[in-house]
Order: sequence, then C-alpha cells, then structure tokens
Amino acid sequence: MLRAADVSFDYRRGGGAAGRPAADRSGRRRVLDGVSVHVERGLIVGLLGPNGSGKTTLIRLLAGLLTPQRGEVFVDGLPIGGLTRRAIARRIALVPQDTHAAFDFSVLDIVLMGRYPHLGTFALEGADDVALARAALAATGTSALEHRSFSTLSGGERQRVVIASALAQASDVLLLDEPTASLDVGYQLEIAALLRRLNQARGTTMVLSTHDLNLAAGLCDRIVLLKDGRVIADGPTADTITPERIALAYDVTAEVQFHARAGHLTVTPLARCP
Amino acid sequence: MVLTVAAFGALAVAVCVVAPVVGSTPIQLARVFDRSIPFADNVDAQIFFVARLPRVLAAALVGCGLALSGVLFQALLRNPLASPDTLGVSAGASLGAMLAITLDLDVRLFGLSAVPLASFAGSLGALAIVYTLSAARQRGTNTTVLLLAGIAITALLSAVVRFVQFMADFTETLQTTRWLMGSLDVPAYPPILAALVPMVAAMLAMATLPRVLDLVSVGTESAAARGVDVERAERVALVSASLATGAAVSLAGPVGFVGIIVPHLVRLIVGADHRLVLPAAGLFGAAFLVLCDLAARTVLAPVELPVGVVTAVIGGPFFLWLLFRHD
Repeated sequence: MLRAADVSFDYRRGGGAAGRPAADRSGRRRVLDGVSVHVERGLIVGLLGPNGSGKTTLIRLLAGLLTPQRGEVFVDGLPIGGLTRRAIARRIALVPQDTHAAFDFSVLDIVLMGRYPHLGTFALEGADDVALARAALAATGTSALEHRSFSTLSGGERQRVVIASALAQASDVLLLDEPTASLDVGYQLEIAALLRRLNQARGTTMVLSTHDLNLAAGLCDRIVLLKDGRVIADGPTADTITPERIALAYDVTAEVQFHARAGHLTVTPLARCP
Repeated sequence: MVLTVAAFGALAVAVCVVAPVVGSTPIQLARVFDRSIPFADNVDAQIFFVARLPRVLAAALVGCGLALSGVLFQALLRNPLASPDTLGVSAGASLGAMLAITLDLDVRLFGLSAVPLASFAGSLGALAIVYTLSAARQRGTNTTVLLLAGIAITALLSAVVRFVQFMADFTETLQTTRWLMGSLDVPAYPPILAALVPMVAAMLAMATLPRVLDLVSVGTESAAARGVDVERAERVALVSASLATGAAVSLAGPVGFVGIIVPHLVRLIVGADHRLVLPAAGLFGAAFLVLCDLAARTVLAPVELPVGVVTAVIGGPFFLWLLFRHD
C-alpha cells in the first residue's frame, strides 16, 4: 500500500521540502541512494540503522514531505508527487519524534487538528469530528487528559496524544519517526504496547524508525536495515535482527537471544567492532 | 465562538463612539447626533466628526493592523516575542514611508499613493532581508536567529531613518519626528481611506489562515503531514502581515508594542485557537490603540502626546513580564 521505488535523495542538491524540516543539523552528508521499500497493509515495519543512515529522510520521503531526486513513492498505487498535501494526509499520518505547541492548546484541540485534511478551509469541526477525536483519545488511553493543556503533559502523555491526533486523521498508514527517542524506559514500554494494540485491534499499518533494537525486535513484523543511505537487509524480524547483520550495520558485536518472558528476540550489544 | 467575536466587536465599536466625546472641549453625544441642528451650527458634531473621529478611526485601523500582524508573526515563527517591531518590519516600513515623505514621491499603483506603497515595500523588504539572513545561516529558518537578525536590521534601518531625517529640510523635521514617535495626528479622512485599501486586502488574505496557523504553531513538519501547504501559507501570512504593518505605519508611524501586547492579552482571554484569536485580536487591537490615544490626548491636555509614547510606557514592562512570567 505504501512503496518507495528506487528513491534517491540528497539535501545538498536542494530536493523540494514541504514543511521545511530542520534538516541535517549535523551538517553531514545525508543521502538515500536507490532505496526500495514495500510496506504491506496491516504490518509494522521497522527502519533501523546507525545515525545518518537515512531513516528519518526515508520517513519524510514516505510522508511526501520531501521529493526524491530519483525514483518515486507510491501510495495505494498512486505516485505521491501527483497528490495534493490534503490527499496525502488523508492516506498517511506522521508522528514526529517530539511535539511542542507554541501556544496553550488543550489535548482535544491537538487531536482535532488531525481532522484538518478532511475539512474545508472555512469549515469548523462538527460533532462527527469531535466523536472521532474522542474515540482516538479512548484508543490511546488519554480520555482523562481531554481538557488538560497539551504543554503541561509529560513526554509519554504528549506522545500518546500526538498518536491520537494521527488516528483522528483516519489515514491508512502511520509513520513514526523515533517515537520513543525522548522517552524514559517506562514510557517506551507504554508506547510500544499502545502501538501493538492499535495494530492488532485496528489493523493500522505502521512504519517506524528507531534506534532501539529491542523495541523493534518486540514490535515489528519486518525490519528494513539501512546503512549509508542503502538498504542492507530487508525481511522478517527474526531473519534481520542477527549478530551478523547488526555487526554489518552498526559495527557492533552483539548477542541475540530469544527471551522467553519478553516473548521476542533481545539484543545485547557487547563491544564496538575492532 | 461567534458570541466571543461579537463581544470584542461591540467593545471596539463602543470605544470608537465614546472616545471622540472625550477631550479638552466637552461635547454631548446626544447633541452630536441631533439631526434637527444643521451641521454648520452644531459645534459638537463638528468637533466629533471633523476634529476627533478621523483620529479615532485612524487609531482603530492602525491598532487592528498591528495586532493582526503580531498574531501572524507569533504563530508562524512559533515565538511569543515575534512582532512587527522585533522583526524589523516596522522599521522597514518607517524607512519606506520616510523616504516617500522627504523625497516627495509621487507614484500611484492600484489606487495606492506613494506613502503606503513605500511603506509596504519597506516592510516587505526588511522582512525579506531578515528571512534571507536567518535562512542562510542554517538550513531552514531558525526563529532565534530570525529575531536577532530582526533586532540588528531594526537598528540599522533606524540609523538610516535618522540620517534621512538629519539631511532633510529643517522645516520637515518637527513633523517627521512626531511621526516617527508614532503619532495619530491624522487631520482628515483621505489618508485613512488610503490605508484602508491595503488593510482590507490583507484581512481578506488573513481570513484563509486561522486553522493553518493553529497547525503550524504545533510544528511545520506535522502541519505539512496533516495536509497544510506550509510554504504557501507562510508566503500568504508574511505578505499580508507586511501589508497590514505597512498600512498602519504609513498612517501613524511605527507605533510600538501593539503587535506584542494585544495578541497576548487576547490569548489569555480566548485561548489558543486562531479562529478566535485572529478576529478578536484585530478588534481588541483597534479598541486598545483608541484608548491609548485617548490617554495620549488627555493626560497632559491640552498637550497631545504621540501615542507611541503611551504604548511604549505600557509595552516595555509588559514585554518584560512576558519574558519572566514562566519563571
């Protein structure tokens, strides 16, 4: 349902950007080179790879926020470049790593913003939209926060509300850019459980980038491993999270074991490869 | 929502009707609107409509324009300290208007005369410089750099303004000095109409923006992912805010702080939703500046202070309060 076909992207060559992302703060060369990824309906696909491997860039390309210099992204078989921003937003929702509101919006306000692509320029949200927003709050376990000010929430609560806002967008695919990166371990587990629940209960298709190998091992059906802007492995989680592949991607020796109580593979990094 | 906006509208209208009644010469509202007395014999009506109303309407228009620009800049830059003053937009407009006045320019375009045109060109030019500077330093636009560049450009443009003033004819100096302090000494209706045209154009463009501003103030990337054409929205917002600032400055000079005080007070009252904030700020800005000008006219009567002195006296401490209130 969402497919990147042989896409290449280079910030220095001035690829078109929507929403002007704070790109390449490190000032390093960050490119994608002939990447192909196919996201099937109902799956959770994890994008893994070291810093600068192009995970975030790939998420932005899949969201239609960047235009590849070569190749094309297709959603439901349609080239994403031919769709309007609203049409893309009705199909694909994005959860950024961290969200800060400049003004004092309530939680319900933030979730209702997800309804934007379904409303006309001058339309106000109707009862249907509020009902959808409340359902999204319920699905993310944040109903009690409805009237709280978004800025006063904890990081984990904020992230759940932003996920609720993405659900209210009623798109087919959820893209999550390092959704747990700024959260402590408690909130990390909470968000992982929430994503798994949403995937099972609603069949929500997800693509998430992460640095957390254990999170990916426990959550994802498929892993795409990136390095230096290329795909170096793509397959079922059990085939991708292996000591060899981890060494190849991260230059790290690691032990991978099935953890019976966790119910999934776990990765213990041991040392930097010599 | 409609009720709240209507309440702000009622406030603006009430202030605009009552303000002309107050002044060094007392007049009666009943007599002003008494149709049985011919206008030529009705001193109260003459004072109301000829001496005071133009000034009040000018204040309302300027206050409205500056407050709207402030709302737009703050939402777009996601920074509560952004305003026409801090971004150098007011300074650019001043320089443009100042040059048009001293050089006695005679240009007309789309029915606009030289001063509002030059003022708009100045505000847009200053904004373009500040934006280019902050974009050049870092990919994308960084709001801290943007504000610092705005302060630097304000200082630079103010120096040029003073230079122009210094070189200008001595007889013009008193007038331009008053104008640069922000003065609503508007003697007649034509300049108000000249400023009204670009202001209405700016407001029509702004009417498409409130929801977009909500989304952008939560993050440009997430706004784009929710279906906002962010670049187009930024262009519309920046041009309409410059147009409104230019129109306001061409009429009254760079009246400071209105673009900061009013949006914040309005947000405290109505919340963050720009579908409420934008119209409420426009109306409250009008009422606010009319009241400030009323104070300017009456505090040291019969001396009339430039209104910019009053807004600065209120605005300085308010700005500091804004900086420190979260600590």
